Amino acid sequence: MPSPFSSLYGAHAFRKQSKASTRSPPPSPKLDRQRARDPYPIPSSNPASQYTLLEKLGTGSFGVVYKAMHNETKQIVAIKQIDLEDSDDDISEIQQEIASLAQCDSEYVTKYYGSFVVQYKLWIVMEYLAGGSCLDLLKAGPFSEAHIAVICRELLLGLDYLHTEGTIHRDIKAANVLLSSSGKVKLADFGVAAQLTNTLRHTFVGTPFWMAPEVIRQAGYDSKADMWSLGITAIEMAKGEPPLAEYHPMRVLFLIPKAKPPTLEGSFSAAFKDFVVQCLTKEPKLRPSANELLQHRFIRGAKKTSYLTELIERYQDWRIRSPQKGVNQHGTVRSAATWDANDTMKSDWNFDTVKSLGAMGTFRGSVKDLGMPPNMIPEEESDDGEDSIDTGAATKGSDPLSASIGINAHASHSTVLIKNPPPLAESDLDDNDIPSGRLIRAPPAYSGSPRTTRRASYAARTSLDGPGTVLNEADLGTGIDTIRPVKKVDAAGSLRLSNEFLGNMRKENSGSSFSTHKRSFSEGAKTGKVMVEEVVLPVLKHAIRDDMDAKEIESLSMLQRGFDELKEANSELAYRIILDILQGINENTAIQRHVHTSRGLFPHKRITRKSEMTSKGLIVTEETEEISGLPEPSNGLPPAAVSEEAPRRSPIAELLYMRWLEGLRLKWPSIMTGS
Amino acid sequence: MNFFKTKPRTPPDLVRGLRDAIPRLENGAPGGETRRKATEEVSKNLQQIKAMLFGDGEPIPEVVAQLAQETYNTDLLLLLVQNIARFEFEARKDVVQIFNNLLRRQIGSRWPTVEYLSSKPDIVFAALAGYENEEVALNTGMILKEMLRHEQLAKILLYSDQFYKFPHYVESTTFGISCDAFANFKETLTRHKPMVAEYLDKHYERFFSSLTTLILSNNYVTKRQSLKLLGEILLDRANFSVMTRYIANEANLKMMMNLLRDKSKNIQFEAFHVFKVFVANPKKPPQIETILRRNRDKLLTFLKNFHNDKEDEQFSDEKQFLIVQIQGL
Repeated sequence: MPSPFSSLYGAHAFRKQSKASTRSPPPSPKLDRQRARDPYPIPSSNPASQYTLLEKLGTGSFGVVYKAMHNETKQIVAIKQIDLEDSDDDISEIQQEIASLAQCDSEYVTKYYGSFVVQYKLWIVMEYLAGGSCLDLLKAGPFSEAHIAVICRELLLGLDYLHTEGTIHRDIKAANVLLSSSGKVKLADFGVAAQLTNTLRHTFVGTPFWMAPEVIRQAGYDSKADMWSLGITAIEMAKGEPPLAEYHPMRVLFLIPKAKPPTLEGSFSAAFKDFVVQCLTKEPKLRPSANELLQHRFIRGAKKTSYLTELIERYQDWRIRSPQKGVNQHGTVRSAATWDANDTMKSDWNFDTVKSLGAMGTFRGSVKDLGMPPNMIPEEESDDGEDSIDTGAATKGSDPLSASIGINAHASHSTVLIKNPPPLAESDLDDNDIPSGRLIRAPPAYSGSPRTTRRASYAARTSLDGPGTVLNEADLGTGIDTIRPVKKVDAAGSLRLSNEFLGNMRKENSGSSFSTHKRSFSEGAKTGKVMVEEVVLPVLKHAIRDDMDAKEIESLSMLQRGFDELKEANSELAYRIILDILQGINENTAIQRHVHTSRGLFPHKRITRKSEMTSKGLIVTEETEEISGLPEPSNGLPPAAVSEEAPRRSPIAELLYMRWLEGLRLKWPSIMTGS
Repeated sequence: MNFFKTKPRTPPDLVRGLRDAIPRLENGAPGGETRRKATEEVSKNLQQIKAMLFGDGEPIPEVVAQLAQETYNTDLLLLLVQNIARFEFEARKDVVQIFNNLLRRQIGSRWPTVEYLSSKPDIVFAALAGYENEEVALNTGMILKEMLRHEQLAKILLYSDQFYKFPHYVESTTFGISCDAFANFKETLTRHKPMVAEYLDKHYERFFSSLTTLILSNNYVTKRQSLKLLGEILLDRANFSVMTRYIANEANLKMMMNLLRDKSKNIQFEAFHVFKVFVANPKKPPQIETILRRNRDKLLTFLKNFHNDKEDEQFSDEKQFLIVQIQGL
């Protein structure tokens, strides 16, 4: 198909450049740097007039992105408009971002041309990249290994440049990797880039799935953090989504530092797999630098960047073939939006609609109510100013809806993402593109948490991913936002948040006994509670070890929580379930035999036959110890743990297990009576 | 950084080489061979000086000392700042790194470069003048910022006429530069408090009329930032006497009351933090009290509806306090 992209960039010229700078020193300054040719804004009373906005490319959490033309040079640029009135934080923070961009002059970094203020909006003029972001391109399916190798090489070159400059990008992910129409690869979004001083950084920023363990742990990190994110991005490109994408981002923050590093599974070359392993070295000191990885065999064999146009074409095809969901943003378009620091989608609703409108709404409303004369120093008793007040504003303010939303939205400003209207509302907005997986999966892990608002918001955050995203598996990974919004509000905000969140979970687990006396029901209920608290939970808890697979950790955590909550909700039911499981095991001969042999845990001595059993199987009076599996309850509990865990059990778990057996023996009589 | 290993040059070599090359940047035809060579020479020397200062591992103290001495002797720093616009992009960044590294140099409790610069006010002013060229403004801005950390140097700037170029730079440049200029303006006014307090006391009229101009700017960012700065200055304990003077002036009060009603929420909020000082003043001058009393009811209604959505406890407390104060008028 004919590519709709005009050749904005000369592929050949670029090739040369990138080859030349394949080695460590940053590309040396171009002698022929011709600033005058660049479409940068010239200070004037009306710099906006120097550009013509052509089309809206997308909406990001921080504003709208347009494709525009620099009138003088006719060059196409991307212009990001940020509503400054919307941001509480110091404008200087935004300026920091701009300053670090302005200090970059690399083929591998999106060019920054300048910025200026128009009323309440900041216009940032940047290089326009027609190829879209890798995240967009992934919608047409995962990339081939050969493509990934090229992209990784270019990213390494870009990172090498940044790191030599003392800058950490801190938010490497497919969404922040842009392609020119000729296949040039550029790093975008310096929203969170930090200038590296001599000391390690501690700020908690990035996007959960891509964050390095040391960043999450806040143990201090350096440029190596970007290398981890690169590894995750490589997997993202190969698989369509980053590892752990099925989990809630907040859980991911817990899992990444705890679990062993993800690996690239599937039919990929050994070189590629090793490349990923190198990037995903948990200990940052042992993790190779960008410069070192340029020598990796996976990278050395990579092709030219012009090869990447295949990806662009494939995406174009895909777009044409796949039904557009009435979303007016196209891939290319949105890609440009992506270089906006954050994820495009949710913002549309989250910030623009609710927040800004609301915020202004309240205010204007109040002005009207007050009827404060334009000049506040009227003569005594003069009330006649009332009507002269800024009527335009007042009118708007009178919209009750906006005013009421405003209260909510504005109040939450410092925690923008935390308190959104409940999920219901959201789903209305973007029915067809919520990747069902995430929305559904995330909440269960959290249900039962006392913080309803919070939960909602996280869910919201995730689910909102995609207003505008076209449905696709790959989208699963899409919506997770860079953490920046939270950070902006409150420096360590995001961290605290996630900590609270995790802490929350753990607390619930351990402090489960508080409501003990609330319900004194049947013996079954009591026993169920005891079973869960003294057996199930400890067993599960001890089953979780560092460096387990993330999935293992997460499943165990969910079991833990599930039992804990079930116990609170209906401990009798918990009791019944456990017994049912045990019974199931008991009744399945094969399993039972296996349990018996592999574990040898059922002490035959305790064959005290149950009375119930008697009624049932009296016939088979076989004294076969195992069968009697009386105290079967034992193992049965953690269904997962039961069969497989045995050999791997830690001594502590073993000990606890034995202790429990003791306890059970004492309690046995009561159970009997209870049932 | 070993790629120039071939000819290890001494600090004097490098500094002299650099000094000699700079004037040649203007020689010959633009784009000609002479210029190109000079440009290359400058970049190369800067890179090597930078390598010496930062080193691959630990820089060698003797070499650094020699280098520093040489730059003082030859007034290299002034030359660098004045000519930075003629350098290549990367070379400009090197200048910043070199300059700031030397500036941070300490021998015991002495800061040799700061001492040197104290006697060379021209360098401070040259860095300030960098705002006149958007291409280098961020580089010179970084140098200026580093200098302003030192009271002697900040004082040179604050007490100069050039200081009043700041508002002009803030107003006449594009966003990125303007913010940088404002940041340094603010730095000069907030970092060394006693020194600044004394200055403000002495130059009250000039300073505040200049700041007022910024507050009344049509540029939203300028307005918002300078209003915030005003609040910070007034609320600083060190500036107590300046504050008393400011809040005795009814024009100032009127301005704040108008800004309370600005269309921008952020500006309203910043204005509140200045307005509150007028109200909280236990010894309000009669002219201030008159205005407040005259607007008593309106202010009460206004404040009761003012930013009720803010979840800031301190703000709510302060607002409540103001309401009580105004009720008691």
